Amino acid sequence: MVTIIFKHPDGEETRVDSPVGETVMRVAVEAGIPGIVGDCGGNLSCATCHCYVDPAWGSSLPNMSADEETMLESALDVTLESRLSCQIVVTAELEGIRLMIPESSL
Amino acid sequence: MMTAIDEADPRTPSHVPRELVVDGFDIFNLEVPDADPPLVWREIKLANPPIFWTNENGGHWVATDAADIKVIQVDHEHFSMAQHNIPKNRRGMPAPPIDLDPPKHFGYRALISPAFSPKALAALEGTIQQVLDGLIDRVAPRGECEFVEDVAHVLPINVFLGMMGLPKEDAAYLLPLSTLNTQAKELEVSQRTRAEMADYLKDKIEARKAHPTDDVLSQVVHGKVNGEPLPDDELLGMCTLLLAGGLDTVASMMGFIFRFLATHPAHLAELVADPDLIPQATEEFFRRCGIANTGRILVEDYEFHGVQLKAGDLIQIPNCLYGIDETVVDNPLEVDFHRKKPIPYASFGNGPHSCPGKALARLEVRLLLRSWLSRIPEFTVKPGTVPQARIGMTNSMRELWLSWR
Repeated sequence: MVTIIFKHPDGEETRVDSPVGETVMRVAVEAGIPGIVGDCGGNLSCATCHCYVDPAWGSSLPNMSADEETMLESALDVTLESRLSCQIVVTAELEGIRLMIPESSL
Repeated sequence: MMTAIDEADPRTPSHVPRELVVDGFDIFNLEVPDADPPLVWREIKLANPPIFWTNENGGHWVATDAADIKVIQVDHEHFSMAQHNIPKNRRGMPAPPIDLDPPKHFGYRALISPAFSPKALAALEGTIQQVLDGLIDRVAPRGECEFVEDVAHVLPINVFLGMMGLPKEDAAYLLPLSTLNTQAKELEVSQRTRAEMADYLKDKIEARKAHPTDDVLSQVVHGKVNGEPLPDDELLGMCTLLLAGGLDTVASMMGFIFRFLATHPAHLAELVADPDLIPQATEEFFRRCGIANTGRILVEDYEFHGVQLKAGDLIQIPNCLYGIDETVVDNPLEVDFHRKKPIPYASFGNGPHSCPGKALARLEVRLLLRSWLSRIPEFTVKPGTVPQARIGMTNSMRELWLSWR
């Protein structure tokens, strides 16, 4: 299991254990993390799983695909740290990764 | 009409065993006694094999177990979206992206995804609230309203016509077509309805080709899939799909939610007392009140859970049955605003074909609940009236008289 840390807009953190191979979106949805919705089930069609990757971990992740970049344009408050969490596959290297959840009404 | 058990229906295809045939099962002629279609579907599920066949409406399978519904939704190798309505070819025209399977589906879907994205919805929220305030201002002093016509149909179509850049006055012409689109039983009527919707759009599409405007219709008209503009028939079919998809469905969802609240005063009081429960309540209502009764078509002969399905067979998956299955949640028929998250449902489909308008529907329902409950916190079904719903390609709320003091 790999520990993923979700940091909420109020600063609180939730630690969730995930099997390798799962996507961060599914881990968050199953754990009931508010703000990560994943409406389209991980098909790059909704931008409701937007999160910010702690810069310390950014280089551990594969680059964004063109389709992810396009869909990400439809998220709110996008920064250089933004990713769609359905595109982040959990690997052993991500142990302890911290992801910030955007302030949102979702 | 019921057929005697020993008198085989000559319409039954040779690969369908007699014991899986439910005589006379006609999705367009089901009784809906309490205006609560999921209860009707549940009775059907409990009374019949988990996958059964009917010879009505051209003949099709119906799968009622949550586990099967889940698989059939996403296994595009066996279960294709190329035909998913009853009877087959109900629209009589292409309707990308809904009638395409992955991977072809994605490029078309990407044309409309931005229109319903968090960014687009944040920009729309003010408009939705404005329409809502106007609606409630109008009905509140009356002390009663026919909720479906006065509220539930008005909000989504106004928001939607605004997004598409179409005149609000056209709602009166489009709403009856929207109802026929999902409820007409005869193929001739459903195809004619679809053609009328397409005819309505033709000159608007041409106008946008010549002069792009800042609306979703223009985005689709000028959109490209794999670098190429859409051929005319696909473009018209896609725009017609957008028009058809967002009207009757959300309205019915709102109708079922308000029927529930009008008949469950404790739930109503709980939401009024704690509006912070509204987002969670919305998800719970989505679970309890699934709308779509679409299906899939078999790509090839396939033995599925011991049932021999044949290439070209239609299989219907009433999506409301997923969320009210005991294997999915405890006390499935109960509405409980405190269920553990995530609340599972298939009411907008799951997988690549999940409804693109889901987030818009969610936003509209939340804002409606918030505004209505703050202005009209106590209401009931108007004495002497009976809520009316029907079942077709969607579970559809037809009439709901509410009254308040």
